[in-house]
Amino acid sequence: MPQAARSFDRVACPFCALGCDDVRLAVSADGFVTVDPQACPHAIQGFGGPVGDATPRIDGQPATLDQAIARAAAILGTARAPLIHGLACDLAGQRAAIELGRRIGATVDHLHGAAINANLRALADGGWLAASLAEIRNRADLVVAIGDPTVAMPRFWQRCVWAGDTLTGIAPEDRQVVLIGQNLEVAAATAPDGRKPAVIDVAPADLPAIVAALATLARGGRVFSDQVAGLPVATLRDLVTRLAASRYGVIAWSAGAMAFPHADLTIASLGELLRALNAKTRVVGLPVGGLDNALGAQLASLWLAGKPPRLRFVAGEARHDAALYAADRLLGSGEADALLWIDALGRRAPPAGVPTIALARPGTGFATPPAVLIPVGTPGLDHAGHVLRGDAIVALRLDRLRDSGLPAVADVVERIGSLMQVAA
Amino acid sequence: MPLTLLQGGRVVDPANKTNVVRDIHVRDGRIVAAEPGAKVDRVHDCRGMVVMAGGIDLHSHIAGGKMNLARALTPEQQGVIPPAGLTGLRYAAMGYTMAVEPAMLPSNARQAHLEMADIPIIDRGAYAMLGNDDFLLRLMLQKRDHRAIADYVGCMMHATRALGVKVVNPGGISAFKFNQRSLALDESGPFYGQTPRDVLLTLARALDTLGVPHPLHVHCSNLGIPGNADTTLGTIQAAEGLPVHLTHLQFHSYGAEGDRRFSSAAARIAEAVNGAKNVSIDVGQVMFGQTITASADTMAQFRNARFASPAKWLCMDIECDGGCGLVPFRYRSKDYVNALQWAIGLELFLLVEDPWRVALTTDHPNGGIFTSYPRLIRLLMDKGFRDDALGQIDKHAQAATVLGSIKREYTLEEIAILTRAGPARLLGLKDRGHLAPGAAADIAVYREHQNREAMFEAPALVFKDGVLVAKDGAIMTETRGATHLVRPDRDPAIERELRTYFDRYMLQSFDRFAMTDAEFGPEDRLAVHPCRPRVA
Ligand code: SF4
Ligand SMILES: [Zn+2]
Repeated sequence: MPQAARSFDRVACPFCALGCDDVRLAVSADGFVTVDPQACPHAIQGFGGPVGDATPRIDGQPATLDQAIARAAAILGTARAPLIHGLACDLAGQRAAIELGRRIGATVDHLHGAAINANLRALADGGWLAASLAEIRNRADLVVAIGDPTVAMPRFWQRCVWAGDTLTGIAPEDRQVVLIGQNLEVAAATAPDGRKPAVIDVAPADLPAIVAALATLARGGRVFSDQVAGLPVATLRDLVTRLAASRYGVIAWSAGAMAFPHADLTIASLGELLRALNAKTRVVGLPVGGLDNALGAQLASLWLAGKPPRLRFVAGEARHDAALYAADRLLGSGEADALLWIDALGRRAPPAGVPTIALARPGTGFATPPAVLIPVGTPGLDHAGHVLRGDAIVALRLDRLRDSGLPAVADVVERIGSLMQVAA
Repeated sequence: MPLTLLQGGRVVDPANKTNVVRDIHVRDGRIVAAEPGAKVDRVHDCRGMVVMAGGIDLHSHIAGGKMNLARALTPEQQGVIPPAGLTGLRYAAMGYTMAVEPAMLPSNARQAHLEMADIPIIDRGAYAMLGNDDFLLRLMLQKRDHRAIADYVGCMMHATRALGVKVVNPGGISAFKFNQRSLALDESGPFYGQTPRDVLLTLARALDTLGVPHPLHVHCSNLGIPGNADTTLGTIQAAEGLPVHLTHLQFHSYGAEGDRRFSSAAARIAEAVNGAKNVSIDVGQVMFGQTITASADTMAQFRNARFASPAKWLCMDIECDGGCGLVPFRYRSKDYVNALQWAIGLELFLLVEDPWRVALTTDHPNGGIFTSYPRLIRLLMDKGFRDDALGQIDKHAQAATVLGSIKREYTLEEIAILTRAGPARLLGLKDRGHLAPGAAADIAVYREHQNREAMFEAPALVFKDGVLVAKDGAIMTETRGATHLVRPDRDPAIERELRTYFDRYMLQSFDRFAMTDAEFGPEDRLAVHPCRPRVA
């Protein structure tokens, strides 16, 4: 029976770290969400559709929420090396997961633990200069993107670069864009007046050499050849000259696009490049990323445990090791003997092979049913909450748009924890 | 409700002009008058001990974006910035029951509050940072009248759940975004054309209009620059008699004399403060050792980055309202400049006469970490100890300070003023910082000890809202404190302009930017303090 839908036109979106709050959608009486077809594809995918099956399951069989929570506590309680992973949820859920990790002596990682740690390792190596999104939106005259920013932030160009009015009076036609990488989304980076971005075609594996050369040139050093990774040095010199001549340049890098060993060293070179350029002008960095509230996990982990994700709690003390406590490694090596998987934002199935408690969105497809499945609500849709924007400054307030009865991750995790003993 | 009796302690309660041996009664989280004949449920023997209100730190960087960046920048120094949990426990174990985060950027307010809610036991509050925000600079450029500006400031205090307002290097952080590397007190900033003097006066006046109890919290221009004392004296003038609180004044009391072009101007500054009753200060004492400096003053931090130790640093321009600069630093007693900084801080403490206008801070973690307060108290109370410490520092610095000639030793009463009664008064917290009936039962009980550091390090008993939370330096139970704030009257008409501004220039709407009370969890109490009636 068709019922009146409620429509919303300024919805805050948790599906990437750009933190848009202008999504238009309608929610029908049965909770079905129809998103404005003009909206960002990520938002359509994330918000759209029915509430789905909210029934918890134990070994594939329907169970009550109480039973599922009790079973989850039993599995975690007998595990010697429990792993809490995913953490794709709101800040409250992440906080609860970290506290549960402390309580039961677990390892805690985030879905994007590798990118988080690549950036933080580079930060701890030398530091950098950065800016939050509104500064870029209002000041940038040159944006150099290393790796495609639209992978992690689909509307990056629209919202941060080709936006209309700016506080400083800088207009879209005053802005220039340079893209470095491969398989880049050129259309969105094209100016409203039709100017195409300059593209420097570089394979990911060549980024370390290119970035190191840029840093050397910016410091006034010499590169002793005509080419770096097949690119004429003149091209790199020209880029450095343009950055040095900008009034407020931006170097936006995507750690997620740096899928090569020691990406942190390349990011550290970007720090060097930024420091050198700021001797004379202002050029700021923007680590583009933060999908699945990675920055929320990063911050909550830092303020609760003093260290970033890839934590292990031993007798209540937090240890951090970006390699040792990587979820992939622990699962691949069989060291983890139980997994608490948290994904309230995507519908991704957990890695297989270990007894798993999945806190997942309805509609998540599993190859084999997890030991415990607890369907959870999505923050910003089924319950209120917060996610961190990609600059790690703005915590975006998310609203509840429908009454689905799906529990929030934080509630489920706290209930599991309340049934468990404190680790010895 | 059970009645608790703290029996026979020497009650040092300068807010109530009390320094006598007497009992304190506690019921339902509050101090109550003696009730003759009432059944006492719990007695704590405080004979031979000193009873004070819980300590209040009015300037300590305990939360927010920059502290998490600091944690990430220096993973090798876990001790410097404790996680939220330890922050609360260490303050409580030291007899402190409240700390105020002094540098909450409006754009980061929500995250800062979420983080502060995870600090156990102690109460928290925060100052919203204004004065480098493009919105204010535009209002000033448009020559808007002071009422509209007061409305804006009030609006931002509401939106960020603030207890006060701080200005950092007025206009200078904004200027740095336009690639300007310095900004003098009477120099027009780029683009908006406002001088630091105008920005300061504008904000001081706005707070006065709104009746906000805490004076404008001022981090002066030219932090750390030899010779900046002139700027500081100019800043005192610039307030034109309006209440201002000059924070971490030590970093702003430098002369440029002598062979090394770095000298103490503490005497001149103290004299000016003594003569300006509208001015209160905290010192930002330097304590030797490793720390990380964290400041919104990107202009100053960028300048100081060359001193980073270890050699790494970060600067960030933030959301058209401020910035953040992080520079790890090691204060060395054998370094002339560091040693003199240490001496300058102590000179200020000892030369400013009225303890009600001085708060004890190290500007945690900028001058040193807050756990060094007991040592700092001993330096103030014990001339012998101080002179010994002076004898250990760089010889040239010894020659450049008058510290050795200062005889003053702080009394227990004066320490109680610097660490609780004074800050409570400066913040407008009527029910904190003292021990009269009606006050919150935030109480620290210290064992008398000749060694004042030992005495203040691990109080025998600490009560928070009447609950025994620490004993001899060990935590007994983890309670949850409150968030303190003010809600000045303002004409919300200005919000229309803010909505347009956010829609045009920011990435979220004003209504989404503004916090709501519902965002604080059910266990997070909000303690709203009254403002004076608004003036026209
Ligand atoms: S860009 Fe990101 S925040 Fe914006 S609508 Fe798309 S997924 Fe949501
Ligand atoms: Zn400070």
